[in-house]
Amino acid sequence: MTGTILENLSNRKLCVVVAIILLIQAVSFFIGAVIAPSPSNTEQLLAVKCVPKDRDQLSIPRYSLLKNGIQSKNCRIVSSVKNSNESIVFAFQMPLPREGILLTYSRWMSNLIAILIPDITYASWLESSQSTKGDDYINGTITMKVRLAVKNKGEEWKEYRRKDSLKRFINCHITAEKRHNEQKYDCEMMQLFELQSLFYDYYLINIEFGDDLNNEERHGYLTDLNLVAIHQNGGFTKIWLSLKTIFTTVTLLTLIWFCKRLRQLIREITLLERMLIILGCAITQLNIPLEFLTLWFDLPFMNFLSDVRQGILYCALLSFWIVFTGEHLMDEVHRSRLSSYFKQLSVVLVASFALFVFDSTERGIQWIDPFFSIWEVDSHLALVFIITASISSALYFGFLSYNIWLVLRNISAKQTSLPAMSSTRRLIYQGIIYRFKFLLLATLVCAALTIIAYILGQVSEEAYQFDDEPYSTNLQWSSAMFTTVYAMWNCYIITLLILYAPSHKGLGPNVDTMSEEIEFSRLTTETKDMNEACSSEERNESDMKLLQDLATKQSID
Amino acid sequence: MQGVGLMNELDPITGSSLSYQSVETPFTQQQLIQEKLQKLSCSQLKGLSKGQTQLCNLYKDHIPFIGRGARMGIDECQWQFRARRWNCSTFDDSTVFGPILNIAAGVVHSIATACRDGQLSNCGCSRAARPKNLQRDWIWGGCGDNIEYGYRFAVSFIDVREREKNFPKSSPDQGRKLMNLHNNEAGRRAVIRKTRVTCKCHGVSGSCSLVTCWQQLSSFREVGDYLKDKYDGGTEVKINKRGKLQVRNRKYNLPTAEDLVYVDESPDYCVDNLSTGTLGTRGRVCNRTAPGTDGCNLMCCGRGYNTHKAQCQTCTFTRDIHTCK
Repeated sequence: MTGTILENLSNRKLCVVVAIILLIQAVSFFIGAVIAPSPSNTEQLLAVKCVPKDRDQLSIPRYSLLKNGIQSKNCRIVSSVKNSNESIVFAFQMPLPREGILLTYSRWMSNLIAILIPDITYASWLESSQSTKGDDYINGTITMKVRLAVKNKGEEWKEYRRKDSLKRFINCHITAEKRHNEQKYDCEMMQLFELQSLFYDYYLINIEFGDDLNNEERHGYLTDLNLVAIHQNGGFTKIWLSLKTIFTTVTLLTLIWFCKRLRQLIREITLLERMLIILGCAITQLNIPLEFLTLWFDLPFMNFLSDVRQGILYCALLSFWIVFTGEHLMDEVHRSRLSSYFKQLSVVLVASFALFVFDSTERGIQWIDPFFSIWEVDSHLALVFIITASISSALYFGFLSYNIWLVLRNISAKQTSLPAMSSTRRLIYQGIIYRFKFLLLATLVCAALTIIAYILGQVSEEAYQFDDEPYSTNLQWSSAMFTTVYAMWNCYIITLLILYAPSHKGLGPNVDTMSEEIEFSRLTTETKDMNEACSSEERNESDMKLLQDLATKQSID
Repeated sequence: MQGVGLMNELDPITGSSLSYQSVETPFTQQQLIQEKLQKLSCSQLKGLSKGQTQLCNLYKDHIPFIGRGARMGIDECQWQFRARRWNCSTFDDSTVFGPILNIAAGVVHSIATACRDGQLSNCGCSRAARPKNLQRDWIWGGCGDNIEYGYRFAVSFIDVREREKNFPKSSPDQGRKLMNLHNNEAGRRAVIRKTRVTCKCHGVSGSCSLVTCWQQLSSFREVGDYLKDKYDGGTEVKINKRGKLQVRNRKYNLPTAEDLVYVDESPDYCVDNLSTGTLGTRGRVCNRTAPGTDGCNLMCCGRGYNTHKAQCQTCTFTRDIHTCK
């Protein structure tokens, strides 16, 4: 690859490019931090304990909201489970009413995850022997009958999904010093379902527990059932989709421009340029705001699809880095074909494939059965995929680091011999070194920022502290992290497409073309390719140039 | 004594079922209670201050849950102090602060819980002031947490009683008012301090690239344990000339908003005293062998104890019960 725009760019222009990128970053950070709400929100619900009149019908705790109270349907509400011998239905109706208004979900909220947290109370009378007073554990599977019903405004409730024997693993623990009556166990959460599209206005969950809940060996009983409903925030979706729309147009335009540039070339397209096209396509397909469709259609595969789309981008990026370092190795090996990178690319493929299979078994199956979770069914299988992917990615980064180390070693070797080289050769090498260092720096900065953003996003989410000024959250850190990182990788790829596009400018007037033929015959295939691809007219032109050069050289001499 | 009179009135009807009625059974016990409650006007409720009556009229459906919260607070107080000379049996707000802040904590806890099963249909939503268009706000950024609503409601409902009193600046009464306000806040914050942050990862392929966290209410017993610790480590304060509370002994650290303060030293609670409102320890059950405050020696203030034989009806097990003279 000779003469990219990057090498021929003056420092001033490069500064302008960097300034534009920084500006885009600042704007996207501002949008995320100030305008957007947090990416997702939770609603915590406590089950209404119903005794249904007809067990086949749904129990609806808030059938209608009257002025003097709430009307339930098929649900006689009991305050405690303990005294009741009747079968109890735990009913959740979402969303909760607020300020006297029956809120509805919106399709902008994109998805809904429901998590169950049981409240299990310790009871000493369930204990046979008084001697053991260590920590107490409750482990085991419980079976429940779950019914999920949906309703739009003005319609009647209809059953959406049901599962007659849903198995979940219950894991609770109480410390020895807390082992008194009425004390609660600490229970781990259980995933109930994940809906990849939030299409309806209201959701209703009815849960009945099977007989395995009241195990003889357990010293606690279920008093309450908590549900945490996580949904994406509508405001975040709106901003996210607008960002996506903007970046789609920008990346698409850049990609078209890049291809046009390549078509103007007189030589064959190099491998690196092909990789850049793939990268551009990968980011464009990720950017296309397909999520808009969920506003009109119930698409229960949206999360799976966006996972796959992200996976395609990761795959393209990883392959690009491997090829890029390989093409800049400056050893005497001809590569320029994807098959030369078979080993490294197969590692990428294995990792992506393992992750794809894992995602298919989790979110792919959730498409059909939202209650499914591979972690609840077969966590060993899930671990196999995760471990395969981890090993492959470790291998990948091993290869990549080794390649980078090789390039850096070659660079330092070449740099010492640079002054001794002829001007053309020096320029070519300097170009290669500059290109490589620029990309390495850009990649490292982006990767570092991504990791920092990831950590900051986690910390800001988990630092849910109560300060002197309660609940004063001014900046939405996690939203800002998302928008900034998203804009950053878009900028990264757009910049690559622009700066690594072939330049129109020649090598410059003071190039020793004579020696080029001799010295580069073994160095890069690109130069050879170019020479072969040259049309006769072009050759004439270059001959003319050669003569001119020779003339100037003679005059200098 | 916030909530106590109120609690006595509403105690039998603080069950969760009261605000509900069923479609199928039009005239049930629940509905009778419901109707009774409707007729019960806020001015009839005993123990409410003027400001609280106004709030009661505004938030009528909250009253059962305030009652439940107060009950929870007192029960918890009695459980925590079961081994002390003073067992939360009755109290006066000038000398003891335990039950009051327990009530503040109980109200936060109870309101937050009631919001969660939809029994309270007018729980707040936004973090900011009341929004103009709730549905639109909810779609944009979701609702704030119910704990926050419980906290805010408890601030207005519990503190209004103290705030409507007017005392001369730097008088002892003003000091008590400030103390109560401080301790109410500490009680409310105890509920929030004891919440646990739980997180769920749901990013790409369920990875942690997207994390959502929420605050989980702890059981009220944990809040009680925490407040008991704070009670034992309370700081003695006095009112200064500028009408502010200041630490009496300069050696001690300044109490934070979560620490408890007191203006008068607690009495020893040994004998009944009408002026402080304590019942004394006469007739309390004590532990003969324990060296702590539940031991007969300390509990009975050296007055000695009586021993009875308690015998079960259905079992052949006798046990010695010691009660203070």
